[in-house]
Amino acid sequence: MTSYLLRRLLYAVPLLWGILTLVFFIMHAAPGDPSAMYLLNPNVSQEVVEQIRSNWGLDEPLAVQYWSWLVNFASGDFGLSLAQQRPISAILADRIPNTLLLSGTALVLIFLIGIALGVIQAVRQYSTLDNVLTFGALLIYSMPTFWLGLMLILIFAHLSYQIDGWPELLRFPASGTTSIQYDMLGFFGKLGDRIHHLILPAFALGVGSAASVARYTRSSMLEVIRQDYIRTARAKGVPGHRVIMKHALRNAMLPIITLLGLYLPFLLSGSVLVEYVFAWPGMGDTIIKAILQRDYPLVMATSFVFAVMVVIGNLLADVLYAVVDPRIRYE
Amino acid sequence: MRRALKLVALVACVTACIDAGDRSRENDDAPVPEELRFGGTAVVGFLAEASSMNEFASNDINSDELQSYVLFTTLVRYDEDLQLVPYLAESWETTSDGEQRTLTFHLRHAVKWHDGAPTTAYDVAFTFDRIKALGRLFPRAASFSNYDSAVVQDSFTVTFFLKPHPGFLDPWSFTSPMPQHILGDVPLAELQQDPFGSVSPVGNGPFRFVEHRPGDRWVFEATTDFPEALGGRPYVDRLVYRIIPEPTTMLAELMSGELDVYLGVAPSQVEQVESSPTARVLRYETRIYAFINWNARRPLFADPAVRRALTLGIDRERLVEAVRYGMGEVAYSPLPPYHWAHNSQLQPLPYDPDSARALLDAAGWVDSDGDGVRERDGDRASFELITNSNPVREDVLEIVASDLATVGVEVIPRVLEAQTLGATITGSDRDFDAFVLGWGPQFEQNDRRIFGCATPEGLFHWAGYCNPRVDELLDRVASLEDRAQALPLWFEYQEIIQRDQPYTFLYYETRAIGIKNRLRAVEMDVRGTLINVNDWWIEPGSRRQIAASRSP
Repeated sequence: MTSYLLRRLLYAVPLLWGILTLVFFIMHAAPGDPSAMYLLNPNVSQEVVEQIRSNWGLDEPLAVQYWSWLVNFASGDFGLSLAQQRPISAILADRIPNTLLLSGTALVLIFLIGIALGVIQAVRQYSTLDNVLTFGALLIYSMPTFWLGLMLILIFAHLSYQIDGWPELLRFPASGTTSIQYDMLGFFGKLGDRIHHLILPAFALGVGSAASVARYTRSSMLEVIRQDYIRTARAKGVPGHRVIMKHALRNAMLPIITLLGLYLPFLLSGSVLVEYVFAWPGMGDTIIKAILQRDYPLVMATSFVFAVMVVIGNLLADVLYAVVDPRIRYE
Repeated sequence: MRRALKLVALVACVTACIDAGDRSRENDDAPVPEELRFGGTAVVGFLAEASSMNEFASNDINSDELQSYVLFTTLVRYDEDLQLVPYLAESWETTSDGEQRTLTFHLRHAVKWHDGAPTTAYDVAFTFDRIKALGRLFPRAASFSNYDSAVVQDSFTVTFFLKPHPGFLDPWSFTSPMPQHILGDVPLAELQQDPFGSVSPVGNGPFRFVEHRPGDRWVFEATTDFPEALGGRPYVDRLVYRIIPEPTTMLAELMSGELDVYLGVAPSQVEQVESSPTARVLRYETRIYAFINWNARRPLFADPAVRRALTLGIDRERLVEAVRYGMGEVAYSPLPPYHWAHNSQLQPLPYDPDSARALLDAAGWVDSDGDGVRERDGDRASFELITNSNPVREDVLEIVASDLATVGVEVIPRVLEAQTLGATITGSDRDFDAFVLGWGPQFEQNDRRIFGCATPEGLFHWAGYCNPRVDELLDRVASLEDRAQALPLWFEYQEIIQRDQPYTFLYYETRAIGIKNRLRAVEMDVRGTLINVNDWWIEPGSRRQIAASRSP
C-alpha cells in the first residue's frame, strides 16, 4: 500500500508540471499583463507603467520568464503577488483554510444527505416519497450554483429579515465567514457564528451534487438489495434495518466512492462562484481576482494548489476503495 | 410564491414604514446630546478590497481614502469649497526666488503615532525622501516631479524646495507622512512589500488599526486621544470595512442591518434602497465622467464635423435616464462641474438627428446603395464600439448603437474583459475604432496626456487628437499660478474641445450610497466617501448588541 501511494505521488509530479506549464502559457497568451492594473488609472503616468513592467521582468522573452518562474517554483518559492505586494505563501495561508472549510463541509453534506436520501428512495421504490424526492433532486441538480446562491441570499438573508414572524432560526447572514461582533463572543458563540455563516454557502455549493449522489445511491442500492445474499440475510431473520445498513449499504457504496474523486474538482470550481457570491475569502475569490489582474505569480500558485487538491482527492478515492472492498489490494 | 411574499412584506411594511420614516425625520431635528453620540460599530461595505495601508505601494482609490481619512493624516485637506486648509500642518508659508521656491510646513505638536511616538517633521521628510528614491516605482511619482528636496528645520518644521507650479500643495492633500521610526530601517527594495501594509500598519489618524483579514475586512478602532484640533475622537468606537464583491449580496446585507453603509449602490438598486423603511440613499457628484473615444486615425473619425454629427446623433439625456436611472448630468467638458475652471457658459450639444444627418451628408458620407448605412469612397460608416464588462457600460453600447442607426451609422457593440480592453486601447498600434470608458482625474488635471499632440504617443493618447492651439493652452495653464490669468485659457480650451469633439462626453457620474437610518451625519462629495468619518454617529438605541440571537 505504501509503495503504491508513493508511486502515485511520484506520477503526480510530471502531471502537475504539465498542468502548470499549460496554465503559464495560456495566462501569458491572454491580452494584457500585470502592469495593466495601472494602465487605466488616470493618476498613474506612463513612465511608471514602463518602469514597473521592466521591474517585474515583463519585458523579458517568454522563455526566460518561464525558466525563472520554473526555477523559483521548483525551489518552493511562490514569489510575491504583484497586485497585493504580499508574499504568496502568506496569501495562501490566509485563504486555503477558508476554502477547505467550505468545500469540506459541502462534501460532508453531499454524501450525508445524498446517501441518506438515496437509501430511503431505494427502500421505498416507486412510493410517493420516492417520486417527490426524484423530482426534487432533478430540479435542484439543474440549478446553476451561482443562481442558487443568489436565490438563497434573496430568500434567507433578505426577505427573511423583512417578514415579521419568519423563524429566527431560518435567518442567515448573506456573506463573510464571521459576523462583526465575532471577537466579542464566547467560545460557543464563536462556533455558532461560524456555523451560521457556513450554512448557506455550503448548501449552495453542495446541494446540487447531493442530488446526484442520491440518484447514484438509489440505483446502486436497488441493484444490491435484489441480490441473493440479501435475501439470505432476510431469510435467516436479520432485522430489516440491519440488512440495509450493514449488508446492502456497504456494497452499494463502491460506485459512490468513485464519485468522491470526481466531485472534489467539481467542488473547487463551484467554490469559485459560491465564494464570489457569498464574499467568502477563499481560494476561488483569490484565483478570479488574480486572473482578472493578470497577477501571474498568484495565478500559478493558486492553480498549483487546486491541482494538488484534485490529485489528492483522486488518490483518496482509490484508497477508500481498498478500505470498502477487501477484494481490492494495491501493491 | 415570491411575489406573494413580497406583497406580504409590502403590506406589513406600509404601516411600519410610515412610522419609522416619521420618526427618523423627527430625530434629525431633535438633537441627541453630544455625549450620547459616542459608541457603536459602523460597518461599511465596499465592492473591492483596499490593497494596502502602505502608501508607498498602494494604488487603488479605496486604500487612498482609508489612508487619508481613517488611519493617517495628510498635511493639508480640501474643504467643501475645494480650498486647501491646514490639517496635520498647522500653517505653511512660501518664499520665491525666481525658478526656486521654498515651502515650509509647521506641523501640529500634539499628533501621535498610535504606538505613542510623536509625529514629527522627520516623518514628513522621510516619506518624501522615500517617494523620491522609489522614483518611478511609486505609482503617483508624477505628483512630486516638480519637488526637489526636503530639509528638516526643527522637530515640527520642514521645508521643501521646488519649482513653482500651479497646485503645488495638491500632492500633500493625498500624501500622508509614514512613520520613520517603524519604516526607517526597511531597505528601499523591500519597502513596498513590507508587512506594514497589510499585517501591522501603525498610523496617526482618527482610527487605529485593529485587524485585517484579506478579502474579508479591515477593522479600525477610534483613537481616544485624537487631538481636538484635527476633529477629536471619532463618535463611533469601531469602523469596519467589509469587502463584498457581489451587489445583490451587498444589498441583502444592508437591508438585514449587517452593513451601515453600502458604497456604490448599482443604479438599478437605488429604488429598492429608497423604498426601504430603515435605509436612505445619499447621492453625490463624483470626479468621474464617462465618454466615447473616437479613434481619429480611422477615416470615419478623422473629420471633426463627423465626430460632432455623432455627438448630435446620440440622445444623451435619455441615455442618462436609461442606464444611470438619472444619476448623472450630460457631460460636455473635460473639466467636470466641480472644477474651478469649468466653463458653464458652454451648453452640451443637443440631441439633433437632423443636423447630424446634414453634417454627415456634407462630409461626403451618403447612403448611396440604400442599405441604411452611409458610405464614402468605398468605406462604410460602420464601426466597432468596445467597452469592458460592466452592466452599465454594456447598456450604453446598445443605446448608442440604436441612436446612431437612425442617422445611418452602423455600430457593432462588443464587450471585452477589462485588461484586454486596456491592452487594446493603449497598445501602440491602436487597433480599435471607438470605446466607452469612465475617467476620474485628480483635482490638478493634466490633459496634455489625453489631448496633447505627441510623438511618440503616450498611453492615454487614444483619441489620436492633435491641435497646436490646444497644446499651447495646456502648456500655459500648466505654468500659470494665477487662476485669474489661467481661467480664460481654460475656457478657450474647453470651447475648442467642444468644437472638435475628440470625445463624445456622455455624463458626469453621480454616485448613490445606501445608508442605514441609524447612522447619522454622513456626508460625501466630490472629495470622497470618508471625508467626515469622524462625525458619523449611531443612534444610541440602535447600536449593535452582542447578539445571542445571531447564533443558530
